[in-house]
Amino acid sequence: MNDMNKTKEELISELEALRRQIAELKDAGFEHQQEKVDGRQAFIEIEKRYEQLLSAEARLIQAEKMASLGVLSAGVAHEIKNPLAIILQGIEVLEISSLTADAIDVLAMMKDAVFRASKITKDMLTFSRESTLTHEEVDLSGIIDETFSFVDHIFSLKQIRIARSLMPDLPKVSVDPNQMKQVFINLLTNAAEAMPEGGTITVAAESTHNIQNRKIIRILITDTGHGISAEDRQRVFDPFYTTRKKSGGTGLGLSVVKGIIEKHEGEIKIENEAGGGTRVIIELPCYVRETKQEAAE
Amino acid sequence: MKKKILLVDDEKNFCTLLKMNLEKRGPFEVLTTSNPQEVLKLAKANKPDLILLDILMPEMDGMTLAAALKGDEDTKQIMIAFLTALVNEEDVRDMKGKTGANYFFSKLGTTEELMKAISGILL
Repeated sequence: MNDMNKTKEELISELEALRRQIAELKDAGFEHQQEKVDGRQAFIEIEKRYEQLLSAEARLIQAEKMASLGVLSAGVAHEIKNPLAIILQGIEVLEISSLTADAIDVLAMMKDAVFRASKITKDMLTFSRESTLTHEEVDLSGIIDETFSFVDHIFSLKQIRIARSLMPDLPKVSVDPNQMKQVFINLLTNAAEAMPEGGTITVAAESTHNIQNRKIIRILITDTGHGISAEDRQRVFDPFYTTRKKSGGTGLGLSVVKGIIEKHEGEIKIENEAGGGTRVIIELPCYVRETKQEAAE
Repeated sequence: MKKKILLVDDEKNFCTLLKMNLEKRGPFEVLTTSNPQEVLKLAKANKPDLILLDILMPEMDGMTLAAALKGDEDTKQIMIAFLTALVNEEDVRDMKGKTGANYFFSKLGTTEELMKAISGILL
C-alpha cells in the first residue's frame, strides 16, 4: 500500500508507533550506559527512527494537503465550467453575426482559450476524483500502440519520431485500459514538449522482476530533450507544479499519471539520461500471469 | 417543421445564448426556463420533442425533475437529455439509469456538436 492510499488514521498510528519506539530506544540507551556498555548503537538507532518519524510526519501533511486539494479542485472545476459554457455560447452567437476578419480572428482566439480552460478543469476533476479502476486483462503493447496512433499525426508535424522497443510476448497485465492510455498520452506529450525543435521518444517495455522479486513490466519512456533539473525532478509530480506555464501547462499531467500508476500498485520515477534528455520509468505488477502460474503449480 | 426543445438551466444567460444559437443554426424552436418548478407545467402545455435538462440546479436537481417528468402520464413519452457541466460521464450514466433520461450532452461542446446529437435523436 502506498502513502496516498493510507488513511489519515493509519498514518497517525504509524507516527505514534515510531514515537513509542524512539522512547523505548532512549531508555535502552540509558540502560546500556548504566551497564557501561557502549550506547552508541542505541543512539544510532534512535536517530534512524527519528528520521523515519520526520518522514512519516511529512507524508501525513502531504496526504492531508492532497485530500484538501482534491475536494477544492472538484468544486472549483465545476463552478468554472458553467461560466465557460456561457462564454462559449456567446462566442458562437457572435460567430454567426456579420463580423470583420479581425473580429473573427479574435473570436477564434477566445474560443481556443475557453477550450484550454475547459481542459484544465477536466484535468483538475480527473486529478481530484477517486475513480474506480475498471480492471481488464490486456496486452500493454496494444495500449501503447493505440496511444501512438493518437499522437502520431501531431508528432510528425513537430518533427518528433517515436521509436518502439517493446519486448515480444509481454505478459498481459490487469489494468484500466482508459486510464493507462491517459498515462501514455500525458507522458508522450510531456516528452514532446521537452523537445521543441524535434527529436526522438523511445518507448521500451520488458518483463522482469523488481527488487522484491515480484514479476513486473518495466516501461521506459526516454526523450532527447533538455533533461530535468534536480529541483524540478523533486517537484515534478506535485499538482500544479509546471515548467511550461508559458506554453499552457497546467501542472496536473504528471500528478494524474502518478495517481493512476499508484492506483495500479505500480511505481514511477523520473531521471536524467546520461547523454541529455529525460527518462520516465514505470513498473507495473503482472498480476494475471502470476495468478495463472500459481494456479498451475 | 421545427422541432420544439424545452431548455431548463438555472443560468439564464446560458439559456438565452443557447436558444439564439440553436434557433439561428437549425430547425429548432427553443423554450427556456430557469425555474425547475415550472418545467412540468411548461412540458404539459407545449409538448416539446426534447427536454434539455441541467443537472445541478439550486431549487431542484435535474435528476428529480427527470424522474417527475417520466412519472407523469402526460410527459413520460418526452425525450429527456441532460445538458451538464459535470465531467464524469459514469456518474451521469448512473443518473440516466435511475431517472429514465435518455441522453447526456456536455455543456462545453460546440453548438454544432450539440445540434448533430439532437438531430440524431429527433430528425
